[in-house]
Amino acid sequence: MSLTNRYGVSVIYIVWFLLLWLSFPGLPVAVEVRSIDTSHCLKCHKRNGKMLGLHANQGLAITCEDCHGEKGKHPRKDSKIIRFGVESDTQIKRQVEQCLACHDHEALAQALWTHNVHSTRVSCAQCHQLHTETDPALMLIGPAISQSCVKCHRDNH
Amino acid sequence: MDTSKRRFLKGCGGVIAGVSVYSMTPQPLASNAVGDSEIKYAMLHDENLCIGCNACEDACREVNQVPVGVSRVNIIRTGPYGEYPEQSYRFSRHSCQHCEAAPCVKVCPTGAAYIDKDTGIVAVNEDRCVGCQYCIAACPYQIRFINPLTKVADKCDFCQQSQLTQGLQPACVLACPTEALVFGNLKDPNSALVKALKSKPTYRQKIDLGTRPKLFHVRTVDGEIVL
Amino acid sequence: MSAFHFDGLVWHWPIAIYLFLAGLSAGAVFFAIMLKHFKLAERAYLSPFVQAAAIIAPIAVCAGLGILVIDLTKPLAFWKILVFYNTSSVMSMGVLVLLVYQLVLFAWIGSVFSLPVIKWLDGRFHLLAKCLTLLARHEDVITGVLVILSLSLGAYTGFLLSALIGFPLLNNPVLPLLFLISGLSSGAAATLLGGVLMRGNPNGTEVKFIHRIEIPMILVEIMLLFTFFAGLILSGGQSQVAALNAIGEGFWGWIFWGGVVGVGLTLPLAFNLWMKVSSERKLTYVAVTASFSLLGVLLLRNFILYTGQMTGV
Repeated sequence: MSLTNRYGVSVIYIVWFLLLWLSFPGLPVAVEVRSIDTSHCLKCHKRNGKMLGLHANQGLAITCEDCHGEKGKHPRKDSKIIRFGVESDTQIKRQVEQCLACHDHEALAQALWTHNVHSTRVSCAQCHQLHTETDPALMLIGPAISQSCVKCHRDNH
Repeated sequence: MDTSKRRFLKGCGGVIAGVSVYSMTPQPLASNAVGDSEIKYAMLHDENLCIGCNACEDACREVNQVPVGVSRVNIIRTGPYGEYPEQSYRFSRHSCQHCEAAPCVKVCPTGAAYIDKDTGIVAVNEDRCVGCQYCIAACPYQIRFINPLTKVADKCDFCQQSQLTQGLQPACVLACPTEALVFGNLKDPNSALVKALKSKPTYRQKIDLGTRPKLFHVRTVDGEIVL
Repeated sequence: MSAFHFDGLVWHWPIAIYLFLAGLSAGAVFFAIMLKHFKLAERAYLSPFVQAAAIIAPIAVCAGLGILVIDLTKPLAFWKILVFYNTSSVMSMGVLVLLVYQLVLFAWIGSVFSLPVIKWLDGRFHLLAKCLTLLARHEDVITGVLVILSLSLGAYTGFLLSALIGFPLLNNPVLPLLFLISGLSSGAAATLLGGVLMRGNPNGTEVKFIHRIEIPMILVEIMLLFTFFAGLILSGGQSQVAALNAIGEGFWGWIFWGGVVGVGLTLPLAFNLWMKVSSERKLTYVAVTASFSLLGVLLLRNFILYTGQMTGV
């Protein structure tokens, strides 16, 4: 059977359209979307679980567990869930490790040299906020940058 | 020919006499600060306490209305030293050293750059400055600049006009979160400055040029030993 | 880092041109005076070379001052330099010298050319004629003072830069001497060039006289240049760095070896020696030699100004 007769041509057409249909995004067959918005965590964390910032980008496909760790015993005591921020009971070193899993420290240092000196001494979330629509640390301009340093360093001095 | 020679010699003699008398006349503002004042302001920058936050520069810019693009003070950052995550930087203050024998004052043709006799501050008389930029070229610390708004050679004056007249410390000193800057009177043995200078080993930049600067630094423990 | 833009650069090429023109003016006057004193005497005003110097010197010094004023950030405030003086400032003293120099320069020109001018006035402007006669009567004093002033002006162009203590290449005791000598030779070149262009005899006494001074002057200049850089290199430290940065590889290295040493010194020296042994000097020979000298001095001013600010202590 030659590919040039009508059966061959129709087979090619069928295969071609099948491929086109499969590669079309938005169809459940194309990508298995693990949307952060439909996470089961949101059943409890309706308010503080909402992810609006850059990290909620569909393309990144980040889940709650990717940063906060597996659910484990949470919300009971002694769970290994990772919490971020100043008041977190998670060790700063552990918090920073979570971020550095994706972020290269050299790239961070290029963005701002202060990353180097704070490295494992200050958790990322003390300056950055990921859940909000925009990270306030990235919005600082002019004297506000130095004032953000002053805020902590004046107290610690 | 004899008369012409005698006249020529007379002319030369006149010129030489004139020049020598002129140079004996008292020098204007350009002379070194005289020692009879009770105040001689100076500053200490402790590189160990400095965190390089630039709050000093921002405060100075606001208080003294320094336009963007130029600055009276900035913190020069070198580094990082060491391996991640144990890294550190060295910060050193770059601003007017308020030299006792200031090269800028010496070269200024109009006396616009002068040493304030009462405080020892190297200041600028904006009205007299013509913008020849001789002072900028002469300053071995390269801290002078032309203010793009006023077209005058500008520099740090320890906030003489903006803060000191109101009894306040310079803006950078007040803004520093870690108290890395100490400002005070060198002639007051009880001042925080003199006490700090006596208790810590300090250095001054380029003293071999004979400028006798009044900006002291405490050398950081970070950084490399450079030979 | 490019050759014309780098950190720490304060003074740009207008200053180099100002230094060049001031030195040129001083040199032209110096040689005109020498010509009159040693060769021409009362007939000086007839010589195209003295006439050329009398035209070039005031124009050059005024143009130089004009460039200096325009280069200020507040050009309209330039009068303050003339009113306020600071005896410790080289620039302030230089401005004083410049002012007096200009005054005496015009007086000298008046006295030298008093005869033809009074003749041309033919009884008109009685007061002017009287002034010129007065100037002519005191010509010897004026000349003496002008010699001192022109030498001071030539040296001042160097002292202006050597007062900058932050730059080892500029803060150098040889620099004022180097600038004085090169300024004089540029003045000689300008006088020769102007003279032959004004139909002066390229084989006349004036050219021969100036050339006789020019050969040892070029030799002295080469020696000073050698001392200048040898001294810097032997001093070590930043002085050595500054010297090697300047005359080593790179744009300014080419300018130095090709422009200053090659075109500005070696070629004029060779041409001068050649003209000395050959029987007759021709217009093109004199003009080309003078042009090379002028170009060399202009390049030297720029070279010193830029490379000097390139390396600090």
